[in-house]
Amino acid sequence: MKTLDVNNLVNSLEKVKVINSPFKRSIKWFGISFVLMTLLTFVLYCFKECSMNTYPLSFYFESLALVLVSYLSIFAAFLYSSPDETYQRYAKTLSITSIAIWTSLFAYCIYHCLTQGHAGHILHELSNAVINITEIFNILFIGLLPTLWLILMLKKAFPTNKRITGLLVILGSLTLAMVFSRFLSENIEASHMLVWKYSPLLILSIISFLLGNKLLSK
Amino acid sequence: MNNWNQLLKQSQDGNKNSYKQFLTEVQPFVKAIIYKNLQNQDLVQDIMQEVLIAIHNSLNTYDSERSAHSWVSVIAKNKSIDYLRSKYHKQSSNVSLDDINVLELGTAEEATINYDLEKAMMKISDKQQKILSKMKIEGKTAKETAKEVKMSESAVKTSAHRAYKILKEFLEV
Repeated sequence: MKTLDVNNLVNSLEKVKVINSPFKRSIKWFGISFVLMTLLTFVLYCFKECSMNTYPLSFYFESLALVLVSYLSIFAAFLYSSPDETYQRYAKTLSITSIAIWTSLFAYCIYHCLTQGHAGHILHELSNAVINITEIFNILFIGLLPTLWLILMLKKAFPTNKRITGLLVILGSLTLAMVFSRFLSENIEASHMLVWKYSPLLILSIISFLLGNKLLSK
Repeated sequence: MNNWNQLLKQSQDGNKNSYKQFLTEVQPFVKAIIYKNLQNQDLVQDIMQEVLIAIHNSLNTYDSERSAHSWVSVIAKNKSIDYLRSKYHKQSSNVSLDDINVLELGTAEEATINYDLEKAMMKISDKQQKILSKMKIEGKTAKETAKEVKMSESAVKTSAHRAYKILKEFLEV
């Protein structure tokens, strides 16, 4: 490095506004996105003239677990975008935890399909793709804006492990969107959830993992 | 080195003198991290420039309550990974570097030790460096070393002993 280059950097120095801690930023994103997603879900609810459904207790527990996955993923993504070795270690632990919980729920859904005789329903779900594809659109409608905002927030910091962070972005934001979209669905059968909720999310997460470097490059 | 936190905080407030001092002082540390991760002296200067630019662009991410060494270390490691990734992409290699985790590339503490050692080695003469290198890295005896550096065995031992003493004093400070 030539001295001249250091001088260039020094000359271009301006007062900088320090960004908040990863925890504060994750809470900010989560809180505002939660409200925004609630509003967007309400818009869809009114637009589609959905009826008020009642769900079993297990549905609420599953939703709660998904909200937890969402927050842990988002927090891990913010930690990964903060250059600090301790934060990077925490991020690794949190991301493993959130992916493990999500995978367990996904595996449970498959298990449920196989043991409750819903395996045949999967084909039925796929044959009604034209109608059911709206489930994916619902998730994207609810989750797109918060996802874009999240990417901007992370890019403002210093994203590291960009592929993993990319995966966590989609896993975190669209899992939360998926939780809201579940309340628009009358069909909560395991096969329906597997084909139209979990699987699209899995595919989108893999895509964001592969595109992570481009998605989060400054 | 302990005032890096203070220098960075002042830099965030727009203090150019502190910033210049920080950028000057941080270079040997960054160099040690890059070298540790890439083991290639030729690449150090290239990546150094990238790291300093990244530091400049990421000043807003530094939290003055956290370690400045850790902050610099993560930035330097990431730039090293980015460099390797782009290099491998250019070579159309199938080797994936995406699974590299910054934590597996050595910590700031290890880099600090390398950095301190490098500085300490500068305190002893070239001859003493050569003697220590032959005896401690290449594992040669005092007799073999004496032959190679064309000194008597006792002179080599004395020289090595003085060098240890200097290093010990410097590293204990």
